[in-house]
Amino acid sequence: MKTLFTILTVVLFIAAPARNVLAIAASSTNYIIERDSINFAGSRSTSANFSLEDTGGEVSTGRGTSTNYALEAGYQQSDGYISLSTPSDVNLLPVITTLQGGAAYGSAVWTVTTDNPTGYTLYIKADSSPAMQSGANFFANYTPSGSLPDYTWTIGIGNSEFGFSPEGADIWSTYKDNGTACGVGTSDAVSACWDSITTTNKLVGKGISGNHPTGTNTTVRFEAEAEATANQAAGSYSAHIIVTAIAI
Amino acid sequence: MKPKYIIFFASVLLFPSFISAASDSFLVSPAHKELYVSAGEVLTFNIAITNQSDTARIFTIGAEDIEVDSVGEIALLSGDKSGYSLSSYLKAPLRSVEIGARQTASVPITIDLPESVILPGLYGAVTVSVAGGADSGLSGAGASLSSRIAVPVLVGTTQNLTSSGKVLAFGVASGDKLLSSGPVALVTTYSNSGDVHSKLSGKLVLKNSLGLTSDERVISSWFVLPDATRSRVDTIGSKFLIGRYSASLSLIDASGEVKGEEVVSFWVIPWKLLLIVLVGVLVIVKIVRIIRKK
Repeated sequence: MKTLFTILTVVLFIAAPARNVLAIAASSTNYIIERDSINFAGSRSTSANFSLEDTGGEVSTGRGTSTNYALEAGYQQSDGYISLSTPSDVNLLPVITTLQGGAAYGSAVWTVTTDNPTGYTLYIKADSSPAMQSGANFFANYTPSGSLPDYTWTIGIGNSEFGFSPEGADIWSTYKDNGTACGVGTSDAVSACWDSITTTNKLVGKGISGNHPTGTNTTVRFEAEAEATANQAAGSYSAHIIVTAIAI
Repeated sequence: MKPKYIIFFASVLLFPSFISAASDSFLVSPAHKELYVSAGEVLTFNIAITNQSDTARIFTIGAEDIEVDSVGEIALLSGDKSGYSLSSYLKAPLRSVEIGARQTASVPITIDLPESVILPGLYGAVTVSVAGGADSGLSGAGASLSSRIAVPVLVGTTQNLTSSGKVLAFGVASGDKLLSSGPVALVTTYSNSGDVHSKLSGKLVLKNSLGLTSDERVISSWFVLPDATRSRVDTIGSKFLIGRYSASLSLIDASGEVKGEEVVSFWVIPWKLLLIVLVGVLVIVKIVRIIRKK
């Protein structure tokens, strides 16, 4: 029984930092110790051309999670985590025909989960310009009518373009709408606020606090359209899209 | 029960991630890294990459510079160099690593600063990217998808960093002085006018009209890059607030220097709840009167 009590005491002592309220070890008006550690060794070691920050003597270190908590046990386990889903490639459907043109659609969902107290940001870019190409042929990047995304997808006569529209609880204000225009209001209408995907990272989502363990979904709708008189050359067109999540 | 069994069961209870994981995603830890590396020094730290899918995946490791975008958030520079460039000094032994299903790999990242570095702060990011899940075989028009996590690396080249900056704004995020319910979202905007990042921490305290503390929130490890203005939103208080409140902010930097002490006052009037109570009281009074008349 004594052994059992000792073990449970040790386990509870180790588990205690799992509670958010104990994430701060100590504070006063002019200092905060974010974490402390009881161990027998470790610190910053340096030589002429090498440095190492280590800690020794800790037990049961590492990351543990459940539906209700995240535990980062150990002094060097302090900078949190971020995870990102890896959606499959997207075929845009229906197939656009050369002579009649048409519009094709597809979507993908990215889920970001982080315990970072100040949340995360989500960016989208393409690795080529224009984004959607097939050899020498391409769909031009979508061109909004102004500096903000278009509430409704619109392309000119004779044009073929490729663009995107994000949806989700954390989409950036540029992609929120008031029912008629984007960049104003707080709504998130379905299939609204269309923009181009360029080779520069565009901010599409921002979470303001940690969202562990459920995470937050951002749906990205893609559309490619060849106007009837565009005479889009036949081919297998592809855009390489890179979605990046950052937590700091 | 033998102690080893007790330890086993306690481990399972404490670390259930070992027996459950999300699907088709990957996890990177740390989310960001702050280090002190002197000019001419070499320092190595590890990034843990966990493949949370059911198949082995190849993860590509890269490095880019970072900058602050027009809204104060950190963005990757896509190959361009910043004035505080770190990417050239970030090195990994592998360009890519294959990680089995539900496995974690630890990748050492080395920061190798030349003697010639004179800036007090250098900033970049280690990127970890992976192609989309099961390739559906693109045809006609399609998008091949890559998911990427960038781990910002903030390097101070001296232990005695002196940040320069101040709180530009502190107030209710909605801009309203009269709210209908809690909790209250407070926005803090900080401008870093120095040439090294600010690592800020502090406290938010919510007090009622009697001066009694209703709630407290700790602000921990908030980074603002040099020449940047960044905002954060914190929520404080419970759902059930009523009356006049004041929220105070105190911010300090890594050296303990006070960087801001602000107070904002506002009212919380749960008018919907009060209206329901008022209507309820009126109905009760009416019923009582009817009963008395009879």
